[in-house]
Amino acid sequence: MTADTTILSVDGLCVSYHGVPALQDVSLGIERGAITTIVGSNGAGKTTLMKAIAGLLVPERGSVHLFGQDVGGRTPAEMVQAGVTLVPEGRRLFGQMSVRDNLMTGAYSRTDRSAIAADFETVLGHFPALRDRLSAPASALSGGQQQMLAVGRALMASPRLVLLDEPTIGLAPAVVDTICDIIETISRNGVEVLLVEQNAHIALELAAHAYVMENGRIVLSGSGKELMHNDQVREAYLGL
Amino acid sequence: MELFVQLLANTLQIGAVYVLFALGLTLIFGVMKIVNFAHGAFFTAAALIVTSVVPFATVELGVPLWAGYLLAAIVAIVVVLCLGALVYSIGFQHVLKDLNGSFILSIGLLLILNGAYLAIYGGAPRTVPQVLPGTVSIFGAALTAQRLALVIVAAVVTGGLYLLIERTRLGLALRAVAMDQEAAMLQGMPFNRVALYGFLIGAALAACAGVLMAPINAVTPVSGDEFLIKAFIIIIIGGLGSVTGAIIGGLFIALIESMGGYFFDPSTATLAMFILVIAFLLVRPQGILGNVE
Repeated sequence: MTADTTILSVDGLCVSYHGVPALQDVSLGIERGAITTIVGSNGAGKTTLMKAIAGLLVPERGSVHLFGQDVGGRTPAEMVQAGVTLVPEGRRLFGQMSVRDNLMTGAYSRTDRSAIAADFETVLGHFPALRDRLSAPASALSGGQQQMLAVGRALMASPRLVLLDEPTIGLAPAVVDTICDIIETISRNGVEVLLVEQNAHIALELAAHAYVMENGRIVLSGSGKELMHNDQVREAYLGL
Repeated sequence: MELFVQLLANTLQIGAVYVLFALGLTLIFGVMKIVNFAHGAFFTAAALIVTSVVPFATVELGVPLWAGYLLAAIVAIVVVLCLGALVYSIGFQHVLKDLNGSFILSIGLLLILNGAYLAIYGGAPRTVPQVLPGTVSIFGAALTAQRLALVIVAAVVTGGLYLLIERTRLGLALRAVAMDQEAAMLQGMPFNRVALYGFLIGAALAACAGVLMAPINAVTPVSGDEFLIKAFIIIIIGGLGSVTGAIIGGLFIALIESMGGYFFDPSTATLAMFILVIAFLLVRPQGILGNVE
């Protein structure tokens, strides 16, 4: 990894919940222009890792560097300012708030009105289904539309790196395809993507680089194609 | 018709103060997820300050009564904001989202402040001269100009709060933090600062209610406490954390108080409120507009 192409690097990260280790010595890197994914079963520590990168959890040990700069111990607000936005597991939309206001919460840390308005249009361009529902409360949307809104809200922060935690969980197959297309579009538009998925099929297909997590550790890494043909991965995560 | 308008006018003037008071309490609960039992102390502080600044301004400074009252209102709100910032920084910011901790802290704070008010002002009821003399007749019902002004000011403040919450960046953050604190933080909203602003707005609303109430009712060091109980009834009925619920609940309780007080007697009205609260807690504990979590 050379410094100028590394977007994010995590080195030796350890996180515990009440003394129980959730992440043990986790190291990974995200390279420019490539979708990176972390696959693993429930409870492997994927969400913990995402929260630690986003600043919601304070790691005990280890470091996080963003564009070569140490960002360990920063608050979520500071991470958003630095260009990292997390789309949390379960979407976590503001249910009674309108779709429009949900999108505007994403732009909270920005003050450039005209750029916000332009990004608002860009997001609606990505997700035309949201345009007709701007005044509806977020809770009234379908599951797929809610996921689109969650991604759209994150894009409103004008991020350089988006962390997506289980974006396809519980969605119908056709909607999953739409979300995958969007993830690829985001990546093509120059926003880096770190994708966490239980659905290893989707993740390995999308990702240029993939990591496998088990019991709070990274146990395997390689290109998406490599891992797709790895016997261990095929058996444990692809059900083949 | 005349009786009906009179009772409606009574409802509005009682309800106006209830709404302001309950709005602050519900806002603080919504944003910080704590119940502030010392909320009445903000109200009392403002009312007491008015009772001492008005005579000082009119006698010592020789300004007209209305100007003295206006000055008193500004002083009261500023002092309460400072008091709010002080108790937030030494106390409440350490018990955010902690119901037990905030309960102990706010009860203790209430005792300290009530004791301080008693030491400074004594226990005797204090009054302020009538600021706006005269009565206004609406559809045959007589309403003192002062009480009409109270209703108008309370309505303007409530409208202003509504605009703040629905239309401004701070309002967006207050709503987002109230709905899902962690998700709000992930949008870059600094929770601690948003909580402080929510707390100060709540304190300012209580101060407004106290300022408006001072020329109408006699003020004692415990004036705020009876409002606190009413405000709890109001936000249980309206829905904890709901701004619209606090407005509806406040007017509803005022309606029961004025109707019940006229057709029966005040104690029946109070009894009816508590029965209503019990009924709500049994049947619809989330209140009229509350959310089921």
